[in-house]
Amino acid sequence: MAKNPTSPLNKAARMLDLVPYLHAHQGIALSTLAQNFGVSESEMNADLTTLWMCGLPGYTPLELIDLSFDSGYVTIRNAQTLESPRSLNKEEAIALLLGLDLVRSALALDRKDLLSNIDVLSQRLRTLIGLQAQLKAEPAIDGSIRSTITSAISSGTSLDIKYHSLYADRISERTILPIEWQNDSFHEYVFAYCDQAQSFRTFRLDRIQSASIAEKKLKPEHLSQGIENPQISYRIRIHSHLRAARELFEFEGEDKELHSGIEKEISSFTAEWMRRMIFSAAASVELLSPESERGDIASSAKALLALYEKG
Amino acid sequence: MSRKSERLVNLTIALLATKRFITKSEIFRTVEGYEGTPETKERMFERDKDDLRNLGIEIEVGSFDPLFDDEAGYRIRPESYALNLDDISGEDLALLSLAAEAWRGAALDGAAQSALLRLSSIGVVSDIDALPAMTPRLSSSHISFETLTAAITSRIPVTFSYIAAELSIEERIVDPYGIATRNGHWYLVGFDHKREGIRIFRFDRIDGDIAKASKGKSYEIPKDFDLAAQLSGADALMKSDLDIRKGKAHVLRHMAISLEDMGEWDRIRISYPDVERMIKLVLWHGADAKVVSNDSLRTGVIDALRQLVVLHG
Repeated sequence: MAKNPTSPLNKAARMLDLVPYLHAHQGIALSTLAQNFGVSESEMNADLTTLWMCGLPGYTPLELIDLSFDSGYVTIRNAQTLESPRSLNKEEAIALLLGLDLVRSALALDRKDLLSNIDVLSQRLRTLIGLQAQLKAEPAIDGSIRSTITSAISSGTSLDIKYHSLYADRISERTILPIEWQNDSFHEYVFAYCDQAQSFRTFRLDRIQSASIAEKKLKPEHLSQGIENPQISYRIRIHSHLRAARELFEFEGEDKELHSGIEKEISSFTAEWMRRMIFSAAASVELLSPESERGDIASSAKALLALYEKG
Repeated sequence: MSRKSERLVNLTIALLATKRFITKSEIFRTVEGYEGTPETKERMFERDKDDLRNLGIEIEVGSFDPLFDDEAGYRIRPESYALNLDDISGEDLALLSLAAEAWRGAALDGAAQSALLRLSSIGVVSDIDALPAMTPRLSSSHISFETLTAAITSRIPVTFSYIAAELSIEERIVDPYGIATRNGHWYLVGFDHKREGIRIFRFDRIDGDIAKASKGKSYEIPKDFDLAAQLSGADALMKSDLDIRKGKAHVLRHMAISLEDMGEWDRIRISYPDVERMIKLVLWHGADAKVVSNDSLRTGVIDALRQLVVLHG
């Protein structure tokens, strides 16, 4: 939906929604009202002032909508025609349906009693918009871990976490002081001070297997001494499977333009990660330099082949 | 600016309040805001009708008196205007709030929040304490859900550019059957016209946006279509035995349906839908994973290793 709050159409839609909302929330504070509708207080004031002039044909005081602002609080009367909330449009119903499915799969383990409620609600929403297609959403992340971390960020609490590091293929136990949430388009990360690394690290939320409040309290003075890890630079040649390479190495912007045989410079914090990337690219990507790493790829592939030939 | 929105609200009220159809001339005479020459009023009214329809408000057109060839009349049925979800409990409302909350910052955030405003106007108090503490979240995407959701509900084929394996761009025409998230990615599942079969498309591999197909015909979704089964590839499962080193290869370990202790190694059995992806996953684990069977996975891995040696030797 176009999100210009002052376009006449959006304004009309908002006014139609305001009437039943005010009816259900008589005496609501103007500031809360503006916040709930996602507009500024002055915009909300303009809406209410306009609404005041609306009503049934005839437009005598008897037929106009009655609003009263009482030192910042709003009540409504004489708006029977618009009292019930408008029906949901398709997009709104689909948003709720997908959201419900997500809630459903997040619930599955502990609250079976709510599942049937969700099914009934979903069925009603489907009927409402005549939806036949299927929608499915699943949480990438255990909700309880997120809430533990969120409250740790706000209270400055240290956490013990179990973290699955994909490149090292190791589950490590760490004590961290979470600082903030970070996002790219697909994943969520926690930026935190890590006691084991004695430095700042970013942890991907879906790889955190558990989080609990730590006995050891990490002090904020630790935070001033973050050290950057040196990155190692690699040169690669991409032979085929260009889309896979683009997604694997997360090329963006101009770097997205690839063709077979193209050479690229990439950097990584660890040689191990790089080696695994090259291996899993199944010979569609060649490592050109550093020379020593290139040799390592060849010799570990040979060693692995020998393992297969043994039987 | 406010004149137009005021007129739309007044028109809605007038059309909602009337039991019978009211004619255009009645509207122009009684509803506040229609001014100017007859042509101006006419144009205003046509635009207003379109605008209300765009807001999802259905305007019924009917005859004033069926016996005479009268001027057309208009009204809005309260039943179609108002939200009707039967009785909703506080617990239901809390579930729906949580569902809307999942979109925060993601694609349908606006739609979810406006839906929530309507729901909270029913006059039921949300019983959020009835639910366990959790905050599920949906990931965002560059695709405009508007076109896609409209296509799904009205069963209209969509068209988009899809990035193929070698980055060539192909135009696809697809009958959308469903959308889903998996592992943080959004997917569209539907019938691909050119390939004449059901295909899965990842949103981030769609170049640009999705549009309604111009000459698409409405379609039916097969009764036995199962979105979850499609996404997990349940209809094409292959099985393999793998040896993995103790304390290593956690991703493969997670997939194991059985595990046998072999000393230095563990032998696991896994099932998977896609050999190509499995080959890469095994290779990712380097010397920590070795394929015992089946042949297609084993030769796939060995071939890739040989090529790696040739390439880097």
